[in-house]
Amino acid sequence: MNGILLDINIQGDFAHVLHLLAAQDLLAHWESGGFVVRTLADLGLAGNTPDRTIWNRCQAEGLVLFTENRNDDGPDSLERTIADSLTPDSLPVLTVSNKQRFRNDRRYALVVAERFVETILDIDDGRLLGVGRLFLPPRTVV
Amino acid sequence: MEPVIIDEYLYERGRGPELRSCRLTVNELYPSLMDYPTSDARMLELYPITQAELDTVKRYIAANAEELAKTNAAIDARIERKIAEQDTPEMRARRWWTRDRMLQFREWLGECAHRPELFLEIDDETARERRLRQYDAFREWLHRRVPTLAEVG
Repeated sequence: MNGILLDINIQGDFAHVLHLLAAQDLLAHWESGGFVVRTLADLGLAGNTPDRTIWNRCQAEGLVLFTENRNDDGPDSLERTIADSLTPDSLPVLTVSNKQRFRNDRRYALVVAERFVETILDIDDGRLLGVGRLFLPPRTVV
Repeated sequence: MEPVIIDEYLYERGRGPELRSCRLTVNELYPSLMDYPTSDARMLELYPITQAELDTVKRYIAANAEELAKTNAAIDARIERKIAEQDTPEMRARRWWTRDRMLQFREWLGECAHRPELFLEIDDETARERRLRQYDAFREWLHRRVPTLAEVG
């Protein structure tokens, strides 16, 4: 993988992820990797680009899509695209389970940030390919 | 599917009602407006939308409050269900990076500060190849220091 693509629904929250990594002294883990961080605009994609186009572009460019998951499963939705296009080598989609809690519950947010960097390193290591979608955090946090 | 136009700012193309300009769906904005009320100024900082689009979404939510409350409760339940489905022993075994290893990695990064060769790309090596070389070097270091943590499943 080369880095991540921030979906429009998460773009405004990514600075908070980096801030939380810095607060846990984990920023070096992210920065040492030299991962690129891209937006749709960086890729020359319009703001209303369909999920399917974005997923395909991510696979082609080695980018992990960082997004939310609150949408219906229409023919070109992310869910359908993953279901009909996934291969064993596909990069996963990284999904924040509860963005509101991430914004409003610092303890939860710290867990999300820590799992974010761990998950990116595992994806980069080839250990989490072909799984479709990965939730952050991967387990329910009480 | 062909988009079904709802109004000047919203349409439906199989993802639920969404803004025509930027992929954001009503259901993505719903929690910020209903569960954790967020000021307009903050919403406009967080999302690439205009005040007119935000006002439209608020009106849509007000006009479809009961249906959207049910939909969003179902979405939250679906997410919890999918997290539980994914939290299997097989998936846990695939993950290698843990807090303990991250802490060790931070120490290793500190110790390697005086070894720039680990962080420079060699000839036409890609950034990823360089990272994999770093991970290998880290695992060797970890194996000497805490062998149980260095194991790769």
